[in-house]
Parts: sequence; structure tokens; C-alpha cells
Amino acid sequence: MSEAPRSEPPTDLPPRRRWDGSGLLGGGLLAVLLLGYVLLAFLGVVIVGALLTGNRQIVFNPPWWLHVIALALVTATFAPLRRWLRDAIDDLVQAQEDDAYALVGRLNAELQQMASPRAALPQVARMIATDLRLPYVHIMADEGLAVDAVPATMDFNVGQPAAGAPLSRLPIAYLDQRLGLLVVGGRAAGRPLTQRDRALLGDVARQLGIALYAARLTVDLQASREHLVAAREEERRRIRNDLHDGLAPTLSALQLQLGAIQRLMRGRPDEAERLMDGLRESLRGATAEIRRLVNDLRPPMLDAFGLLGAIRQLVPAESDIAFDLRAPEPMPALPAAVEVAAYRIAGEAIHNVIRHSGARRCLLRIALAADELGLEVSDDGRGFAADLPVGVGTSSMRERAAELGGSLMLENDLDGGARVLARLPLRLAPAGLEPPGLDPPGLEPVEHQQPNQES
Amino acid sequence: MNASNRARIAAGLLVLSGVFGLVSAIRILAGGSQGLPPLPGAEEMGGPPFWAGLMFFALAVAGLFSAFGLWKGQRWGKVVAIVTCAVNAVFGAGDVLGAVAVGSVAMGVVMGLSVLVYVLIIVLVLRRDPVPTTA
Ligand SMILES: Nc1ncnc2c1ncn2[C@@H]1O[C@H](COP(=O)(O)OP(=O)(O)O)[C@@H](O)[C@H]1O
Ligand SMILES: [Mg+2]
Repeated sequence: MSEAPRSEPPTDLPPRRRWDGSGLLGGGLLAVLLLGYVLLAFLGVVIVGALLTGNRQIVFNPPWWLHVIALALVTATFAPLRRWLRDAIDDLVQAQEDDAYALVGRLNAELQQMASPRAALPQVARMIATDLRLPYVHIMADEGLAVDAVPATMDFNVGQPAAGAPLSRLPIAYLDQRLGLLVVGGRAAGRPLTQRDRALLGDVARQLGIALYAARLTVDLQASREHLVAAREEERRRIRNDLHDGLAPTLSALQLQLGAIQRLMRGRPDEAERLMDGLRESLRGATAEIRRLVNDLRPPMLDAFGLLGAIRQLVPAESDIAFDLRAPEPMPALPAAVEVAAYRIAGEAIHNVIRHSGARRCLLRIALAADELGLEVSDDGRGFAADLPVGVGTSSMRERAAELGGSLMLENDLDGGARVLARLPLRLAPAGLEPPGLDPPGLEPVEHQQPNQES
Repeated sequence: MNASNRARIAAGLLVLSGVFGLVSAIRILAGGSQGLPPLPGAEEMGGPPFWAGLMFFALAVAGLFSAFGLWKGQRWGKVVAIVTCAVNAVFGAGDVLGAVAVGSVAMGVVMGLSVLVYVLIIVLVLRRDPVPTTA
């Protein structure tokens, strides 16, 4: 009847438990030990009473006050003892160390072969619930942030929290990135998770963090790759249109004019000369058109002045804003794509400062780490509005950074001014669009050098 | 002291108490259906009856059995050890009571010690490591 061996009940059903009688076993052990304790306590009180009073006969018929003392002793110690015993028995009975760590292993296997977090997380939640015998497991995770997409949250839960049972929340994180939250419900009211539960769940959360991080990288990579292809296509279309609409008609017109001049040259040289003036004008136009096209491909300022010089040229000579550029000088040779991106981002950021910030001072900083360039443009103006700015300029900055595998951050300083921080990796992936695998060196945590830290 | 050391100490104690238990059980059983004569100084109590011999025998065997399981780090070893020790401790305390009643100091001390040993075994088996975090 089951062609799909892994077909599982819908997510909102309580987890199917492997019945191995451990609930009964745990309950039985607890009952035996508590009963034994009560008997021992009573016998102990009677023995001590007999020894202290020196009256051996009271062991056959203990007086009422010995009963009271025994009752008081048991009442006072029963609850803490029961709690300790139950946690210990839970850990003993639920699973052996090996069983528990088998969960981590199976989880790992599940996560390794997952097609996407969306597909794997329900299964993972169910595994945690079943293996740890937790009535309620809830995984929330941010889906990878596409270049400019709104973050989507994935949300899976299994079972229902037991009434009155405490919920424990464990962050799912990798390095300093928060990726989600693992919420589990205790087994019953007034029973927090045992230490071992928590240790195990900590490991589970760590693993989830790594898996979600990898998944997010994949999504981001895919998105930025698509973006890159689209941007390249867009660029081609623009160049084609420019050539087609601008240069091609100009050149045809030149051809026609040349023909006319040829025909007029002998008979009406004055006319021909007049036409040739026009021709020179058209040629100048065509040359300017070509220059514009070429400049769009790579800003000529970069070749003429280098990155720093070109950025200095971006700053208007006459301005109410005091611009200050700090950068390592001389700048080492950088990949051309990084130079162009840095130049364009700086250009747009400076433009925005002039147009929107109302600032008096603006600081441009460039910092180089071993494998990335940081570009920071901060002003002391009014800062971004509460919601993230979405405009052509900001999204084009974001795209330029993303195309290179870098990132762009827009935020407000503590003192309110706007701050644009771009990080551009210097080691660019080969043009073949190979996914940057998770092998070393990709796995090494990147030390993000804050470009804006002086001293 | 880590978990496996605790299990081994508990197993060792179980073997000791199991051997003592076996010896005394066999002595009772060897006395036939009348059981043993009472211990010197404990004549009032009477000797242990035959069924007690059977029970001591079963408990001793279970204790030895659980010691093996504990040594191997098995869960059933822990479970059997806990149950055997709980039963043994209660019976031991009953014996202490009897010893007090008849004023037999030697038996009281011996049985009292055995109760402590059984409780110690239970604690050793149930105790967990403080915070078993993995890095
Ligand atoms: N330096 C800045 N200070 C304050 N607000 C800014 C700054 N830069 C950008 N903004 C805000 O962000 C919005 C989006 O900027 P942008 O994407 O460049 O679009 P545009 O410049 O075409 O308006 C701007 O309209 C402005 O409100
Ligand atoms: Mg703008």
C-alpha cells in the first residue's frame, strides 16, 4: 500500500512515535524508585528513632510522632527528588547516547541530500520530534535573500505544544548570520528540557545553521547569476539599440552626403564645399556617439586618472558639502570590473549625497583587505527614511556589487547620516560562471575587515 | 569521573554484592524448607525463611546479570541494576530494622552498609554529566 516509503503524514499531525515501551519503562522505574525511597525513608526514621530513644520496641509499633517525622521528611524531599529522578530516567530511557547522536548523523544525511530547505525542513522537524519524543517542533527559517527580493520565511511545525509545557527557543545561526529559529515544546507542563535534550538540540541547530547557510548561498548565487545574465542581456540590447538607432542612420546619411558631394564636386564646387562642412559636422557627431558608447562600457576617467583620481573627479569643484577622500595611496592594481563597479557606486552615492542628504560633510573611504575592497560613503545629513530606499540609483548600486559577488549596505549612522557600504571581492570567479563551491577556501570564515575602522 | 567510569564502579559493587547475596542465598536454600537457624543474638527474629532464600538468589543473579550489562554500557544493564538495587535496599533497610529490634549491632551495621552501597549504585547509574555540550 505504500509505494512511497518516505511518505509522511501531513505536517500538523503529531509526530508518529516509535512505540518501544520506553514511556512505560520510564514510568515503572520512576515508580519503583520513588516507592523504594518512601519505604527507605520511613524505615530510616523508625531506625533512627529507636536508636535515639533507646527503645527497641518502638520498631514493632512506631509512635505517631515518628510517622509525622517520616511524613514531613518525605514531603519535603519528594518533589526535588522526583524531578531529579525523572530527568535522569528520561535521559536513560529515551535514547542512549549512540541513539541520540545517530539523530545528528541522520539529520546530516537528510540535509546533505536535500533539494531545498523548503523540501527538507518538514522532514527534519519530524525527525527531531520523533527522536527526541517532543510533542512540538517548529522551525522558522529565512529563505535566501535574492538580490532585491523580499525575504521569505519558511515556517514548519510538527504537532501541538503540550498544554502548559514550556517552549524553548534556539537560534539557528552560522558565523554571525542569524538564519532562523528552532522552537520546541517540552514534554509536559512544568517539565523543561533535560540537559541532554538541550545539548543535542544545540547540535541540531548548529547543523541546521550550516545547511541553511549553504542553501541561502545557493539561492543568492542563483539569483545574482540570473541577474548577471539579465544585466548583460540588457547591456547588449542597449548597445544594439544605440548602434542601430544612432550610429547606423548617421553613417547612412554620411554615405548619402558623400554621394551627393561626389556628384557636385565637378560642376558646383561651392555647393560641394558647403556639403562637406555638413559632412564634417555629421562625422563629429558620429565620433561623439561612438565615444559615448565606449565611455559607457568603461569610464574613460578610470584609464586617465586611475580609480582614486576618477573618484576625485566625481566630486564637484564648487559645493556646499565638504568631501573628504581617504584611501590607501597609491592604489594597487585592481581587477577592471572592481574598478568600474567601485567608480560607479561611488558616483551614484556622491550624487545621492548631493541630491538627497542635505549634508555638510561627506566622507569617502576606500579600504583594501586581502580579498576585498570596501567602499564607504557616509554623510552627516538627514539619513535614509525609515524604510529602505528603493530607487533606480540604489538598486543599480546593489546590482553592481552583487554582480561581482559583493554586497551593498545602506544604513544610517549613529548620528543620523546616511552610510553606503559596498564590499567588492577582489578574487573574481572565472568568467565561466562556475558556482563558487563550498570547498576551501570558500568554507574558511572570511574575516570581514571593517573598512571604516581607523586606528 | 565520567559516565563509563561510574558504570564500571557500579558494576564492581554489583558483583561484590551479588556474590555475597549468592552465598547467603545458597546457605539458606541448603538449609532446606526450614530455612536457617536464627543468627546468634537474633534468636527473637527467627532465621530467614526458605522463600527469602529463593528471593535472595533471584536478586543476586539479577545483580550479577546487570553488572555485566553495565560493564558493556547497555541500557538494560542500568534498568536491571536500578530495580535490583531498589528492592535490595528496601529489604536491607527492613533487616536493619530487625537488627535494631533484636539489638544485633553487627547485623545492623552490615545491613546498613549494604543499603548505602545499593543507594550508591543507583546514584552512580542515574547520575549524568553536568553539561554535555559538544563543541
Ligand atoms: N545620502 C542620502 N541621504 C538621505 N537620503 C538618501 C541618500 N541617498 C539616497 N537617499 C534616499 O533614497 C532614495 C533612493 O535613492 P536612489 O535609489 O538613488 O534614487 P533617486 O536618487 O533616483 O531618488 C532617494 O530618493 C532618497 O530619498
Ligand atoms: Mg540617486
